[in-house]
Amino acid sequence: MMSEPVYITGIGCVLPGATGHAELRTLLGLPDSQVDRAPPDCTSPLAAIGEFDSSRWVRPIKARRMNRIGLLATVAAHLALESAGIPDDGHLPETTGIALGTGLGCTRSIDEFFRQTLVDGPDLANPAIFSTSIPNAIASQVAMRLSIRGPNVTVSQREVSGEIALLLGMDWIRSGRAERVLVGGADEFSNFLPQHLAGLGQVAASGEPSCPFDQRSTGAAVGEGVTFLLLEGSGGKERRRARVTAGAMLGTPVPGETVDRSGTALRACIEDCRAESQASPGLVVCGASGDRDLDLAHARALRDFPGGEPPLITAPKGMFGESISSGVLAAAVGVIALTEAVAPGLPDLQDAIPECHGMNLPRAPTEDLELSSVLIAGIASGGAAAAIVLES
Amino acid sequence: MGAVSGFGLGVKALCAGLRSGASAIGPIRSFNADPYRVKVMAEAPPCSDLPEATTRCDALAVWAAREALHSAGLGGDQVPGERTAVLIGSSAGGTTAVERLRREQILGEHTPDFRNLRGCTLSSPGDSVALDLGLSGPRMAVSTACSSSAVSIAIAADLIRSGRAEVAVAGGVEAASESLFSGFHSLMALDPELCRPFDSRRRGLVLGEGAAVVVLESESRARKRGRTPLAFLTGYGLCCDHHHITAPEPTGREAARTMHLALRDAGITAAGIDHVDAHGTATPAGDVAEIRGIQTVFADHLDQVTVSGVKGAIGHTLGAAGGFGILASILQLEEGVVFPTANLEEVDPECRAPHVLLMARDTRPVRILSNAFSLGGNNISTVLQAPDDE
Repeated sequence: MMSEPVYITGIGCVLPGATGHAELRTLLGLPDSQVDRAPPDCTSPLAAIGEFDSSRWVRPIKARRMNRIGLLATVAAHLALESAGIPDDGHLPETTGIALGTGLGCTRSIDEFFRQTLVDGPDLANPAIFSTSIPNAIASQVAMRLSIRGPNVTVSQREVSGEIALLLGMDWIRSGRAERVLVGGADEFSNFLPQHLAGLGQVAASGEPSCPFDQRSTGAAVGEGVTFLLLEGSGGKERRRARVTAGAMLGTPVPGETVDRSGTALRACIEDCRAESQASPGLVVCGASGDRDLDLAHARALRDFPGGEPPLITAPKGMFGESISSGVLAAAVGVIALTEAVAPGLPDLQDAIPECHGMNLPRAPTEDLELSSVLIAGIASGGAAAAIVLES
Repeated sequence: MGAVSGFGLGVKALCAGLRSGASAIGPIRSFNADPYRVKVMAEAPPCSDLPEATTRCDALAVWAAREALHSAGLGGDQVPGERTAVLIGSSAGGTTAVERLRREQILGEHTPDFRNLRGCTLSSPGDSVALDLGLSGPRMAVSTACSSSAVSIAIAADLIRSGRAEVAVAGGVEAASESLFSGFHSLMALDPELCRPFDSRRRGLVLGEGAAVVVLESESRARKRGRTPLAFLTGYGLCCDHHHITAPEPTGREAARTMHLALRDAGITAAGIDHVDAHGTATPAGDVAEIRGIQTVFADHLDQVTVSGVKGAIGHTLGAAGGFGILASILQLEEGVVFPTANLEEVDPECRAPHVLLMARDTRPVRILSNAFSLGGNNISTVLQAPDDE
C-alpha cells in the first residue's frame, strides 16, 4: 500500500515579514527576528502579520465573504501552487486534496461572534461570522476559492498540528487517496490568544526575553502565519524540491496541558524515522519556542543525536514566534535548507539551557550548507510528538 | 463500541432508543436559553464517575472510549498502549472551557482567570482519552465540523492498514455549547420543537451532545485473540463539495460523488448496499440535496435499499454525528434490523426514498452506506459490512 513516493514541489506562505517562497528564503538568511519584544497593545512579545492586502490574489468581491485567516490561507495556498508551476485556473483534478493543521482555528471570528451574541443579543449576531468561525472553515475557504475537490481534512494537535497535517498528506499520496495535497499550517493572532497562551504558562510577558533554548527566556513570543506546501506523487517532476521519506507520530499520556519534558515520544518518533529512511540528517528544524518545558523536551529528545556529527539544530519559532501550527513552516525551512543551502539561526540566543550541552545551535544563519537530509521534529503540550525526514 | 447520547450512558441505551423510534430531545439544561427563540436540545446525562477537573467534552469522550475498549475485550492491560492510536474528532472541542472566560472578559463581570484553561483545545478530548487509557500511539484530533468523527474513524482505519498503529480508538465528541448553539441559532437553522428529517414539516436541526467511539483493528489481529469483528469498514469516500460554507450543493451531485467514491473504495456497486444511514439533518436544503444524491447513486436500485438516520432521535451531535451514524450502522448490521427515522411521519415529496418509518424493520442488512456531510463541505461516506458476508 505504501509505495508511491512523495515529493514537495511548492512552497507558499504569509508570515510576519515574508509573503511567498522568495521572501521567506531572503528572511532566513538574515540575522534578525520578526519578534517585537514589547509591542503596543499586546501583553506578550509578538510577531504579527498586521494588515494584509490580499487583493492581488483574491478578488475583493470574493474576499468580502471570507475571514482574515481564510484569506491568508488562500493566498498561501495559491502561492504554493504557483511555486510548483501549477496554474490556479480552477481546473485542478479531483485527486487534489487539502490537509490543514491548526492549533486554535478561526479565533478572531469566534471572539467576534461570541461578543456579538453576548453584547448585541442572539438575534443580532452575524451568521456569516459564525459560519467562518469553525476550524475547518479555513481549509474550506481555500477549497472554494481554488476549486479543490479532493479530500479536505483539518487536524489539530496543539503545537504539532502542522506536522500531523504533513503526515496525513504524505499518507494520502502513498496510499493513492490523492495525487496532490496542499498541506498547510494556519493560526492567527487575536486579542484572546496572548491571554490564552499566557494562561497556559507558555508565553513570555511583554518586554521579557523570549528565545528557544535560552536560559533567560520566560516563554514563547506569540506568532501567527500560514504556510502551505504542495505534496505530489509521481507527478510534478520538474519542480521536485525534496522527497518526504519517513514520518512518525506518537504520544505520551501526560495530564492536561503539560509537556512530557523527557522528550520520550519524539525520541521514539526519530528512531522510527531512522528505521524507515536510514538518513542521517545534517539539520534538525524543531518546535522549541522559548517555553521552558517545550525547550527542555526538545533538548532531551535531540541531544546525543544518533549517528555521527551532531546536526545543526534550529527553531523557526525564534524568528516567527509561536504560531502553534508552524510545523509546516518548519518543513518549508527544511526544504529551503536542502535546495538553497541556507538555514536560519537563533538570533536572540545568548545563554543556552544546560540540557543543550553538545548541541549545535548557531545564532547566525548558516549559508552554503551541503545537506542530503533534514529532520523536522516537534513536541506538543498534551503529549503528542511527530518527526518527518526530508531528503534531497 | 462506546457511546454517551441523549438516550443515556452506553451503547445499549443508544441501541434501544434508536430501535424504538423514540426522541431524546428536551428542554436545554446546560445553559440559560432564555435569550433564544429555540429552547430544545438532546443533551446527554452526566458522566459522574469521572474526575471533577475534566471538562464536559473530555468526560464524554473518556466515558465512551472506556466503554469501547472494554467491549472490545481490550480493557486493562490487554491493549497494546504503544501501538494504539487515538483519534477523537469534534467541531469545537473544549470550547465550553473557554466560553466562561470569554463571557467574563467580554461582559467584564469578573476578571477572567486564564490559568484555568485546562481542556480548552480541539485536541483535549483525545489527549484525555490517551491519558485515561494509557495510550501512546499516534494521536490526531480531526475537526471537519459535522463529519469529524466519521473522518477520524476512516483515517484510523488507514493508520492500521499502513502499519502506523495496531489498534485505534476513534470517533468523536461534542458537548453542549452556547457558542455553537448561538451560531446555528443565528443561521436560523434550528427547529424550535423537534428534529424531523425528510418530513414535509421539518424546520431545521436540533442540536445534541454526546460521544461515539469505536475500536478498530485488523481482522487477523481480532481473530487471533479470539474475537469476531462486529463489522468491517470496507471503504470510504472523502471529498470537498467546494460549493458554499453552509449550504450543500443543491443538485445532490457532490453528495453522490462522495457516495460513489466510497463504493469504489469498497470495491462494490450501489447494488451491493442494503441500507443508507443518511446524514439527514432536517434542514430544508440539506435533506433534499442528500436524497437527490441517493437517487443518483442508487438509480434503478433505489427500491432495493432503505434509508433512515439518527438525528431525529439524538439530535445533531456535530463532531460526534458521523460517529453515531457509524455506530448505528454497526448496530443495525449486528441486530439484523434497520432503525426508523424518529419523528418522520409525512415524507416530503422532494425527499422521496424508501424511508423507514415509525418502527424498526427486520431486513438483515449486510452492507450499509453511512453519510456524514459537513459545514464547509468536508464530506465523507463509509461502507460498513457485516462479518458474515466475508
